[in-house]
Amino acid sequence: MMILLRSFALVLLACGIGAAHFKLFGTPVQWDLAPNQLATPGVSVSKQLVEGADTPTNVTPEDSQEVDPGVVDDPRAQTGDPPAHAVVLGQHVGLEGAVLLYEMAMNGEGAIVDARRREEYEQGHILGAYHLPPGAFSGGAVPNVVRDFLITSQPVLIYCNGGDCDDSKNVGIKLQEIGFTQIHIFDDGYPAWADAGYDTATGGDP
Amino acid sequence: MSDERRPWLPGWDLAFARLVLAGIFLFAAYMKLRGVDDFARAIPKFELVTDHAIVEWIAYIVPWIEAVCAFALVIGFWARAAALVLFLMLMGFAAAMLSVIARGLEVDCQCFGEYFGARVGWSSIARNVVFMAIAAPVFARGAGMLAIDTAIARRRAAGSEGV
Repeated sequence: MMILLRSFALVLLACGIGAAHFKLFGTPVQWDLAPNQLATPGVSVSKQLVEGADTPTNVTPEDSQEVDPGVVDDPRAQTGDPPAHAVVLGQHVGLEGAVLLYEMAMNGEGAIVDARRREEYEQGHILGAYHLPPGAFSGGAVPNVVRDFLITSQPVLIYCNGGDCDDSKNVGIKLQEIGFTQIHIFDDGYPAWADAGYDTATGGDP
Repeated sequence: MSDERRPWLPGWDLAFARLVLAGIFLFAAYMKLRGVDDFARAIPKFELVTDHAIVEWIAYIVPWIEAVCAFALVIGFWARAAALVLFLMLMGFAAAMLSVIARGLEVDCQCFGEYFGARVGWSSIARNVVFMAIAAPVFARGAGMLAIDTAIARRRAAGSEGV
């Protein structure tokens, strides 16, 4: 009986400390990604990614090289409307959207981030992807990969293993906290990319 | 002096178990509190508690229960009670993991924050069972050597012998 009472006292003490911690120092948890911020209309419209439904284009591995992800020379850009040929990408993208963002990354206009574990990354990842798991941000640190290779104003495609995998979303939230404004989550993840036969690589960071 | 004459000092094995358990849970608590947002975001994935307000409280309180009990184990004060709390927590975690596996969910454990970001699976349950096996003797037999509980018991015994 005495042990039960002492156990209860320990739990009560911990609840008090936890509640004080939460009330005094706790910050609201960001449960999901914030909406992407669009580039200012008329200022930087070339290859601008526009919020909305996922891309309507059908890109296959064979013809993906012919797709220009954001050919924009349209007066509607000056009014803030989506340019006629702009690729419409949501924050969550499918395989086609991932291909377009991959091409932008290959042209130095974006980046790809692999949020999976190191061993998974080394076994195979999207060509040019940087390895950046959620754990790299532990303790509020800004990982070297972010500091050295990513640009806050450029789109970042993040993926993990698809399905219920949350790592890509968690990395996206961390990047938004740092100041990244165009986060795109590849929901189907690496398995879909590899199955479709797109470019992959093995080993360490590019 | 034999253990029969000093039943409150069963030996070094309990002290070792107590300190190992304390180390595990201090580390787990530290990692969870270091990334409390990540821990909070992992909880609803278990689909047992989904209300965000409740989840935020859980995310702050669970690591502190681990930390307080681990600290009690380190100093050997109310060690049996602390071991009981941790044993029950491990049992609860194992039950939650079992339900995740039964429902076919793919959930990251976050048991040690981001340090071991492994998916919940049979290995996670096996790990919990091992930890329970470490906690059980401390709960059943006491703190062992180098503990405040033991020092108090020794003093009481000496007092009663003096009387």
